[in-house]
Amino acid sequence: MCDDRERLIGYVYEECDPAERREIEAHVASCDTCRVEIDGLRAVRTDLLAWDVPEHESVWRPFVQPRVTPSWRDIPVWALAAAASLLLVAGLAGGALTELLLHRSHDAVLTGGPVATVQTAGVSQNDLTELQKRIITMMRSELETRERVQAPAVRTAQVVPVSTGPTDQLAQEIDQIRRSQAEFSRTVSADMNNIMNKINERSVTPISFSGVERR
Amino acid sequence: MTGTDEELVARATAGDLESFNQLVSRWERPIYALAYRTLGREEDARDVVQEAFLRAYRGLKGFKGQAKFSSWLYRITLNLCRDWIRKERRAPIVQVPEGTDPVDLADAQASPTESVEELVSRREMSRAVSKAMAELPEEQRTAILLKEYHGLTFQEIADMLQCPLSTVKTRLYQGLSVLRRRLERQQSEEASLRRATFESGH
Repeated sequence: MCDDRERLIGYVYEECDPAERREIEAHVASCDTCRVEIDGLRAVRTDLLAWDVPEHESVWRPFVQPRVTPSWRDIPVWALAAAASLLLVAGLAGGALTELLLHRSHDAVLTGGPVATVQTAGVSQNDLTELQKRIITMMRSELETRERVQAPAVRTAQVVPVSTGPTDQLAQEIDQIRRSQAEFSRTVSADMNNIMNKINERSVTPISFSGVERR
Repeated sequence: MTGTDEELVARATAGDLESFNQLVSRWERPIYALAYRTLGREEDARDVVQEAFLRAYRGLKGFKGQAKFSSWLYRITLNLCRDWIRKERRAPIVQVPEGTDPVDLADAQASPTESVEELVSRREMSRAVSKAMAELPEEQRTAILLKEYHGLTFQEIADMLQCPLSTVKTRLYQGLSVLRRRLERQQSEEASLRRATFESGH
């Protein structure tokens, strides 16, 4: 027992089974060497408690969950088209209204004098027409890109004759979305032309959605 | 939102960063204590703690729960400390703030239940222990740190250090025996010094 240091350590740290514990206690009661050894180990354990760790502030800068913001590429083409159209309409209507209120006299309207190009807050009609063309080009490009991406999936769905599962359903859904997009574009275009007509009826400077002046 | 370590680990692995933050706030103090007592210098301990948690985060997917999360963290920390000591090519440091009078320190930190004399005595012992521990072989020091200050079982230490149970007990016994002799010698030397100072003053 006196040479079995592992057992003494187990006893000091109270990690021995009850039978072993009783055996060690019986031995220690009659062995001064082991008793002194155990007392010494317990004393040094008490000394170890004095070792402080200095107070410190947290060193960890917490992680922050990134906010999920959609990329503009994730926005459907029809939504981009609608947003662009609304912006354009708002800009044109604002320009025309300002022109009416600030820069043209009532007489000029009646006599139908020389027609000046709309120039409001530094933005001319040509600028707006150019902007419109660029937006349309951008939307077409985006639409073509999306069609190229979608096309293989559609073709795959079409060439598999016996497929009646999710692939067919996917193809139908894609067709449905494309039909909806086309319908929506037609509706937006018609609405915008209506708005343009109404603006032109009240404006000396005829403008149209297509960028062609009307006399 | 709280939970066991295992639940937080599962959520953090699935991408919930807040769960990982909670794990950090739960384990930062023990991990810092282990790093500080192993390295002996606060700024080194801070660097190691930060790196340990970053490594833990990066390795979460590889943590399969074969050990407790805390044991895994302890192992990462000890490995980092070992690398740190090797890189610095030095033994652990006994940090004593420059120009600090123990009595001044005691005035600032005395708790209501502890007299200034008791606090000074405790701080002297703290310094003596850190000095004696710094002189121990790394294996013995690590075993004592994990057992005394982190309450790991013999088996957990053996698993973490990948050594037999009997080796853990031997390291503990040898380490404590060496500490005991050194602390007794230091206390004896300090007592002689105090006696000599007292006698020279009279």
